[in-house]
Amino acid sequence: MNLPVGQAGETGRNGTPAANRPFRLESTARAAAHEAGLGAGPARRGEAAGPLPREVEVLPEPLPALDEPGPGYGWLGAVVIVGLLAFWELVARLGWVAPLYLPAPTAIAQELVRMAASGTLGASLTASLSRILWGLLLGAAAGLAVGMAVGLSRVAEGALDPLISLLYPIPKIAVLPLFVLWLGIGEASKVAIIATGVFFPVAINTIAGVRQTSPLLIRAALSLGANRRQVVTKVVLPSALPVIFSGLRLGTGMALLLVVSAEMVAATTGLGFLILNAGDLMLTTRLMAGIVVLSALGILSTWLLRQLERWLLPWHEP
Amino acid sequence: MRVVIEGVSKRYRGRRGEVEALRSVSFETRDGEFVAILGPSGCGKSTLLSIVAGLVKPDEGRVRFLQAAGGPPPANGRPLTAVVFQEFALFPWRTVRQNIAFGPEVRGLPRDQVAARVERYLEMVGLTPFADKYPKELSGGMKQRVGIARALANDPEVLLMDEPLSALDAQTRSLMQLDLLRLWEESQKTVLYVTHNLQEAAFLADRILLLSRRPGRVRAVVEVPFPRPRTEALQASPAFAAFCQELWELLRDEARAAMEAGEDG
Repeated sequence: MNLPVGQAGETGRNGTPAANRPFRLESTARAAAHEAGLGAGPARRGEAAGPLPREVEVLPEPLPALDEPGPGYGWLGAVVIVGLLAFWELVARLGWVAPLYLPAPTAIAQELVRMAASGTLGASLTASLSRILWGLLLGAAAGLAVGMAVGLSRVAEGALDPLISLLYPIPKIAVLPLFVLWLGIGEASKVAIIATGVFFPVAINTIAGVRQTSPLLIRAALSLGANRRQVVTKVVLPSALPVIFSGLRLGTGMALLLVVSAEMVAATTGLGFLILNAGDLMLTTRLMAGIVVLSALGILSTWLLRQLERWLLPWHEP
Repeated sequence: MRVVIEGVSKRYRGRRGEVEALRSVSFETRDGEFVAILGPSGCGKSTLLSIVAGLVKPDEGRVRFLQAAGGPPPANGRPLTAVVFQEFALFPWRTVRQNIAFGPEVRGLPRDQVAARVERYLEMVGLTPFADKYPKELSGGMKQRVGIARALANDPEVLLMDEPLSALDAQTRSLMQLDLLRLWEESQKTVLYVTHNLQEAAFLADRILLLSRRPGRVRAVVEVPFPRPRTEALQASPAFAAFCQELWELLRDEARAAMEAGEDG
């Protein structure tokens, strides 16, 4: 005969005849009685002759918390920045360091306002921005085209991959004198150097993005009737887009770096020229104002790219 | 539409030499039949399906599609097959609606016809409220319903399913089996359904094509004796259990040998 497990357990434990109730129920009843401090009354169906086996609670060893929930400390960053600015202002006001070496933040702000009013700032900004935009546009377009070709075609891969690997490590600014020689001292050489700087990260990321397209998705598209061109435009390109975008982000950083360098080497306009010129004339306040504008430009471009990415790639988690 | 598989063989060249996936497999479906392809892991079931889909070329043999002579001619540009993949294979950059629209869209259907078709299949798989969500926002069961709707929206003659439910949890799978039966009964398309789950094969199919371990050969073709429409009650019946036991006996030695040979996938 097949006994319920509970009864068998009961018998084994206490050596008494099997109770009528299942073991689990019995056990909870006992535990409840124990907790209530009643102990085991001798009247309880004659089974508990001795004292109940005492239980000791065993606590699990506490594990170190790796990710503590709680308030963030983002505000600390603001405190540090404001504190530093205040200290800087103090140092300048008290004349611990001469304004020639370290002008006060307020003085820099005033200089910025003055430059904006006189039109110097606008002119420099326009000159630099147009170079950046043209360089970005040309470099990204070329990078995308070459990257797609190399990623998609064995022929293009064989022909161009080694060349890209060879040219990529050359510091772009070192080539500027050559570009000036070829293209003249005007806008063309500056746009070209920026475009070259943008080209490589965009091309390399495009190649990587194309190569990592899931073969499964390509199979799915083919089985649904897509032709080769549609596989490229509707599967490979969208799938590579997040990677291409991070190439574009790298390229934008590169463009900022190169525009300043190029304008410092050979230009009469632009933020790089403004900074270098101010340095030559020992106009430290103006120099610092130029740096502030550049950093604002950096922050702005990062923000703009993020917005663009959110708009273009809503399906992609940043 | 009947699918006729004639002496199909396939070998793959891998790093560890050649692997023979299929050896002269021949099989004919009936018109509008639901055929399950059952076999141990690595027996080439999925390869066979890919060959029928035209995604993989066989080394030998061929696959033919035969249309009843009196029947309506296949519409121009209409695909013969559409595949439902185990891993769903949804385009993550497309919403549910856009995923379902992919087939009609690349086939160049007019915009309004694409939209009408998408709405119909959205409704058929019960995903209308999720039409504008991206795949990452869906559960596994919902994803595969999108995969099925996307294949059906192409209005293929033959629906090819490659272990479509095996990435789902057991409860979702049971529910999806019922959904599949309903969808198939509505559409009356010929279905080739790859699975390694013999209960699933027994519950869904008209006939079961049993493949041997690698290289995959036809081990047996088993007629499933249960009448349609089938309900969940069938799965609880002794006859069903007995039938599954029979299937298992046909499959067991092959499965064990495959397992011990360390074959996979």
